[in-house]
Amino acid sequence: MLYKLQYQIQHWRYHKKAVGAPVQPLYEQPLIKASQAFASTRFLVLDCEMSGLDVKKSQLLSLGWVMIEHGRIVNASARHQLIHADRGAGDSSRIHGLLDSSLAGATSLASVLMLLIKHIQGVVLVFHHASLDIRFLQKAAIENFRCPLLFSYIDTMHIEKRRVHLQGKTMGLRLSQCRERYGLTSSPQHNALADAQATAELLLAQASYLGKGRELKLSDLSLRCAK
Amino acid sequence: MVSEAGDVQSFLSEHPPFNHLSDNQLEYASANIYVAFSKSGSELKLESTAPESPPVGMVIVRSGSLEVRDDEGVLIDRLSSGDYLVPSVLNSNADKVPRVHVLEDCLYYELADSAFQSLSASSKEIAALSETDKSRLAHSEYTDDDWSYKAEDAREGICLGQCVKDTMSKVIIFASPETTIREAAQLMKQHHISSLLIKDDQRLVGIVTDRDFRIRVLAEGVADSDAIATVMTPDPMCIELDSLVQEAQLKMMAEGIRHLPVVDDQRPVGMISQTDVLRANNIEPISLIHSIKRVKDVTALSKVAAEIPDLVVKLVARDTRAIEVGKIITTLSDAITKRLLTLAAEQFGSPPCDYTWLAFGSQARQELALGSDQDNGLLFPDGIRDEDRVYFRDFAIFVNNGLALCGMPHCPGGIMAKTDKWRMTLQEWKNCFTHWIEEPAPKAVMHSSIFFDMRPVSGNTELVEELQEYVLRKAKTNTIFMAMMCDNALLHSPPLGFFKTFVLETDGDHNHELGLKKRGTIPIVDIARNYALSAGLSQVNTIDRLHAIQQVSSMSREMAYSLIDAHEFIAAIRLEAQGKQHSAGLKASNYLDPKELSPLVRHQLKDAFNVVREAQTAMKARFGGGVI
Repeated sequence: MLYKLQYQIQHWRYHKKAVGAPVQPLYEQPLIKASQAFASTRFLVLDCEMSGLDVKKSQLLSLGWVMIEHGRIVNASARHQLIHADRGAGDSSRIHGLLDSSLAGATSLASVLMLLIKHIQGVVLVFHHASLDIRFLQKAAIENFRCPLLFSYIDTMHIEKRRVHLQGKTMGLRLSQCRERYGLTSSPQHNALADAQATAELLLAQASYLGKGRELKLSDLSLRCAK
Repeated sequence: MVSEAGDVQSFLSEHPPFNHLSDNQLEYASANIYVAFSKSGSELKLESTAPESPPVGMVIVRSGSLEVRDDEGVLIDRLSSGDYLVPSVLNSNADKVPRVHVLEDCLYYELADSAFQSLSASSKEIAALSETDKSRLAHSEYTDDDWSYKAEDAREGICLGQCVKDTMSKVIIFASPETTIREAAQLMKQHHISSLLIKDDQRLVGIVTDRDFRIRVLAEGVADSDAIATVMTPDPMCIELDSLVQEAQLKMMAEGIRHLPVVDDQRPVGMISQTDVLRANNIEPISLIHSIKRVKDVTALSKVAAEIPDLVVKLVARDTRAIEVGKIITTLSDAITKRLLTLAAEQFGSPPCDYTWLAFGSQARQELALGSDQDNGLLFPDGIRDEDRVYFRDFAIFVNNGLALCGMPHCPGGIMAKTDKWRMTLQEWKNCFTHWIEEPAPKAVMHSSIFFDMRPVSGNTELVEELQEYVLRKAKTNTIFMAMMCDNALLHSPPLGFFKTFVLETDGDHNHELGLKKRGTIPIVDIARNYALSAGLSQVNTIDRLHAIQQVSSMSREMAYSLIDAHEFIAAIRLEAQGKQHSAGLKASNYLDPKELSPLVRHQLKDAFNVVREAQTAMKARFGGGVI
């Protein structure tokens, strides 16, 4: 219920602004119902790399995503989009291995966002630790299109947090820590695409455990609406 | 967008069979991969659950482990990271579809069936997967593809002079389509031929065989004045004059026919038969046997015998089936033994009485490999005089030493005719077997199992038949003995660990090597022997035994054929390894470093060992065991 309300508020606030903007298709699609089955939902698992954690000072460097259809990660759908940056990658390049030189010749932020918009219609997005990524995405959308994106999403970190909490335990919630609990090994590689794929695998593992013989619904995965 | 080999692609590139693929093929494969996850304890559904999702051609385990069990819960296979299964192969037997259980949380890749099919068309490693696993082992027939590879390899290989041209029989008798059925039959009678080619204007248009006269003429009541064209097989399958004999062979095998017309640009010129093919395949062994028969002394004989390993290398390179190679080596060893017996008679004077030279073990089973020990003995009619026994002592020493010079080392256990206790009369042999069967001690069983494979090489065969009958009658009814033989057979287990990893020898000269004979061949031989003994079957050759066992239905047909194929596969690998060792100037051994095998062959070898393991379990259930 809360999900539907969030969606309606967001839609009511921005749908007029969205007219004519690249984000318009997102505001025209029907709401994805929380009662929809996991198996028949298309997901786009997204990971963003930023130059820092502060939305005001940092910027998006790259996006990586992969689709899930019929409960299967579609390997051919994997995309890794580098974003042309005004400023250099700064300190974060040491973590992500993205050097300024490899960023040169990358695509502009606006065209990457437009490609993303094309891929997320009728789709539920998936993040690990959604709030940070969404803050950067919405800021970018507003700067470029004067209007935020409208989409439904789930957060594998949130799913894991709830699962761990139900078991009365406190455990690490970093992506690699969550994966370990399902026997998934983590590759040493860290970029937006590798992390998106790792997140997608984690979601399949979580869904497999949450399913327990009955049909899994999106509401079981705390579906939310992006603000 | 950044181009980079993704995680999936780099994983595939490190594992067989994908490591054989080109970069393009790999990219194509990984673009058709769907990643899925199943938690431990669940069952993997191999048929696609959602109708709109593509059917799965192959499942590759990324992490975790799976277990495949048949409908009765018997373990077929365990898979862990890098292992794969092919659902179509697994589901090939419609009424017994195996189940796949998830042992540990499992992340796996599904390769879309459409991609699997097109990769099969462009990669023989992928194509081979449809035959590996169980189906490969369940059906011994080769597919056309298999043969075409062989024909290709053979073309550039050593097979010169193996052309259809040199092997066929020329045909000069033809009929025309207007010839009447009666005239055609007369023509065939006149020239003593069982098939007749029909040509029209120099072109081959049909063939009739004896069989056609029975089925299409007599049975149908066709008038013998009709034209032969009405009953012939029109446009018969034929082969070009300059094709290889092996191509003819595979065409005949594929079509189940015994004669193949040979054409030179559509003009019929000859006929090649299965008999011609067999002859062509065995030219060298026959000439070697001739040389063996001609030599005058042991030194000359040992020189001829020294050519045998080269012959084996050639036979292996020519893709001769391992069972045939085993028979050829045995035929040659028999010929050498016979020659030595004659030379011995020349040296010591004619034998004073009837005798039979018995071969035991692998020579008896016609399954000799290079460097196999000799196992033999002598059998006399009852009532032999003591002085005659003395004659045979020197006689046997001469032959045994001769065999050793000819590349068949002395038996370390002393099971040779030159050992006094293995020269016995019929009654003494009977007593000996009675003792083994009725009072089986574990150690005795172990030592005696070799004697239960026996075959006369030279001399009086009736004596052996009587002895064999006696032994079978005794063994068949003695369940304690059978149980003990079963336990003995279980001593050698296939070298597979829990997760289908090879267990390597840990001691002696062959540290970290795979004992192909001890752990692959011997268990199959033991299984075949036990079932044959318990069913009272007189066959000695392992393949013959398995065929016979399956017919008297003491073993399932599927299991028998799987074992036959596993036996052939392991023997083939062993022969190939021996051939390599020989070419490298090393002594032929029965051990192999698995690292020398290609990953695909490794995988197939594991399949073969797996069949052995299953058969051992079935045998244990049948004969009880556990007496020790």
